[in-house]
Amino acid sequence: MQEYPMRERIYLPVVRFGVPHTDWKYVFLITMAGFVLPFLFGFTIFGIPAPMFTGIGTLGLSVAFFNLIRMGRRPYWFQHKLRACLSSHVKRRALPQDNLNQSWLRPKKR
Amino acid sequence: MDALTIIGIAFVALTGGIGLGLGLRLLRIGGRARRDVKRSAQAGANASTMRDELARRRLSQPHGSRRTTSIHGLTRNGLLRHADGSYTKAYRVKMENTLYADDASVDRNYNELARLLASIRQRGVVLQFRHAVHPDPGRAIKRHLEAQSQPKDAYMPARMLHTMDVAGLEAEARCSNYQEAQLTLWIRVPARHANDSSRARLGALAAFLPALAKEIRRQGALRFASAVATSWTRTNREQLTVRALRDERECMARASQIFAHVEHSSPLRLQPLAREELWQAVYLGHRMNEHAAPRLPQVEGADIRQPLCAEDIKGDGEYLLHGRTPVGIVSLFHPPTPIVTADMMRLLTANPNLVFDHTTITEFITLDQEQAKRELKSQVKSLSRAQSATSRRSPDPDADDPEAGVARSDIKNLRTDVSGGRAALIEARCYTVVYGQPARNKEELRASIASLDSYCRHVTAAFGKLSGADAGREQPEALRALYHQSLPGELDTRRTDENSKRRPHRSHV
Repeated sequence: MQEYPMRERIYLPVVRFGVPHTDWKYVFLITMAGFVLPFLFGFTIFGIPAPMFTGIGTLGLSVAFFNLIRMGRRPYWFQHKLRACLSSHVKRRALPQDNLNQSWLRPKKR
Repeated sequence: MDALTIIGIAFVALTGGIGLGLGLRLLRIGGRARRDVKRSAQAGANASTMRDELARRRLSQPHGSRRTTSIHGLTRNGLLRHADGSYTKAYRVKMENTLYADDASVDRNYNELARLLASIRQRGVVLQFRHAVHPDPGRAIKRHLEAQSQPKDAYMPARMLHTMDVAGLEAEARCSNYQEAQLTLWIRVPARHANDSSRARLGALAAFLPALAKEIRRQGALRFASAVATSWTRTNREQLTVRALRDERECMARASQIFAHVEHSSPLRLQPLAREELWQAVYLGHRMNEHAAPRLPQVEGADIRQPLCAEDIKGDGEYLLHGRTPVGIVSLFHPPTPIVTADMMRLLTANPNLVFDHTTITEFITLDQEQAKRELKSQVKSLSRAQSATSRRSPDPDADDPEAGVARSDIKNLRTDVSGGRAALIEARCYTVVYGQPARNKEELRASIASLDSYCRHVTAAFGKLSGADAGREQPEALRALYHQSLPGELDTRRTDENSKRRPHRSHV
C-alpha cells in the first residue's frame, strides 16, 4: 500500500510557562482586569495601592489555572467538566407539554 | 397596687399556666401519636401514597433537562431537515466483497475520495462514515441458503459436504463468532437563505423575551426559574429556522447540488436511503428500546422531534444509559503517525475480536481554505517566536526544540502544497461508539456494564495497533458532551467543529 505522510504536529500549541499560545490572550485580559479594576475603585491594603498586589496575583493565578486545566489532562477537559457541572446528567424524554409540534414551513399568507 | 390589679395578674398567670400546661401535654400526646402512626400498618400505606403522589407529579415534571435534537423533520424527497435549516442525506455504501483486492485499486479509491473531499468548496459540510457492526446470528447463512440452486439438481456427495459445512458455520454463528457490518455515509450541508432570521445574539435575546413572557403566563410567576429555563432552551438551544415554501425549495436545490457532486465524484458505490429507510435508521438510532419505527407523517413540514426524543439518556459515570442500553465511546486522540495507509482501518473493520454491537464513525469537515491558510501562517509566526526565544536563551543550535523544528518543516511543506493547489485542509475525527446489552434490572445492568468495559478494552487495543496512534475511552464529562452527536443524523457542524478542535486531526488531502 502507498504511504501518506501524516503531519500531525502542525497544530501543536506553542507552550510557554505551561500555557499554550492560544490561551495567553486570556491570561493578559485577566491580569489587566486584576490591575485596572482595583485601581479604578481606589482599593488600598494598609495604605499601599492594591493594584501592586492584585496585578501580580491575578497573573500568577491565571497562569497556574491554565497549567492546572492542561497538565496531564485530555484536551478540552475543563470545557467538558464545566459543561457537565452546569447541565443535568439526565436528559429526560420529551413530553406532550413540551409542545414540540412546530412546522418548519411557514404557512402561506392569505 | 390595688386588689383588683393583684386579682387580674393572678388570673392571667393562672390562665397562662393552664394554657402552657395544656400545650405541653398536647405536644407530648401529638408526638406520641405521630410515633404510633408511623409504627402502625397505616403508615406504610401513607408512605406509599406519598411516593405515588411524587411519582404522579414526576410524570408531568420529570427530573432532568429535556432531551434535544437537531433534527426537525423529513422532507418528501428523503432528506433530513435540521432545526438550523441545513439538510442531511444518507447513503448505503456498497462495500467491496473481498479484503484481497488489488492494492492499487484500494489506493486509487483512497486518492479519489481525497480528491472528492478537497473538491467541496463550501465550508462546514460534514461527511460522516458510519461502520455499524452487529453479531450475526446466522442471517448470512439464511441468505446463502435462499440464494442456492435447487438441492435436487446438485451432486449428492457435494450436497452432503455442503450441508455439513453449513451446519458447522451455523454452530459457530450460534456462539456469536460472526459479525455483520453495514457502511453508511451521511452528508450534512448547511443552508442559509437571505430571508432566514438572524442568528446573532441580539436576535436570540429578542426571541427570548416574548417566549419568557409566554412561559410565565403558562406556568405562573411563582415558577419563574423554570419558565426562564424552558424559554431559554426553546429559543437559544433549539433556535428553529422556519421558511416559506419557496425559500425552502431554493435552499434544498443548493444543498442538492452538493449531494449530486458527491454522488458523481465518489469512488464508492452509493445508494441513497429512501425516505422510509432513513426514518427507520434515524428513529431506531434515537430510540434504543424500540424495534420498529412508527408510520412517518406524510405532511410536509411535520415536526418529528417528539418521537425522536421520547427516551431518556442518563448517567454520570463511565457509561451512559440510553433507554435500557449502556453505551461508551472510545476516541482516537492522536492519528497514526508518521504515515498512514489506505488499509489501516481494517484493524477495526475486519477484526474478529470485535464481534459485538459497535459503530465506528469517521467524520470529515470542510474548511474555509483561505482562513485555514491564515491559521497556518499564524502558527508559523508563533513557532518562529518560540524558536527565536529559545535561541536567545542558548546560542547552541542543538538546544532548539526538535518538535518545533519538525513542525516548522511540516508547515512549510504543507503551505507549499496548499498554495500549489495540490492539497486542501480539512478536519477529521474518528471514534467508536460501543453498546452493551440492554438491561431490564440491576443484575442485568451490572453484567452489561462489565461486558461493555471489556468491549471498550478490545476497541482500544484495536486502535492501539495503528502505529503511533493514541486512543482511549472517553471520560464521563466528555462522554456526556460527545454522545449526542454520535447518533444517526445528529452530525452537527457547530458541535463537530467545537469538538474536533480538541483533537489536532486537521490533516491534508
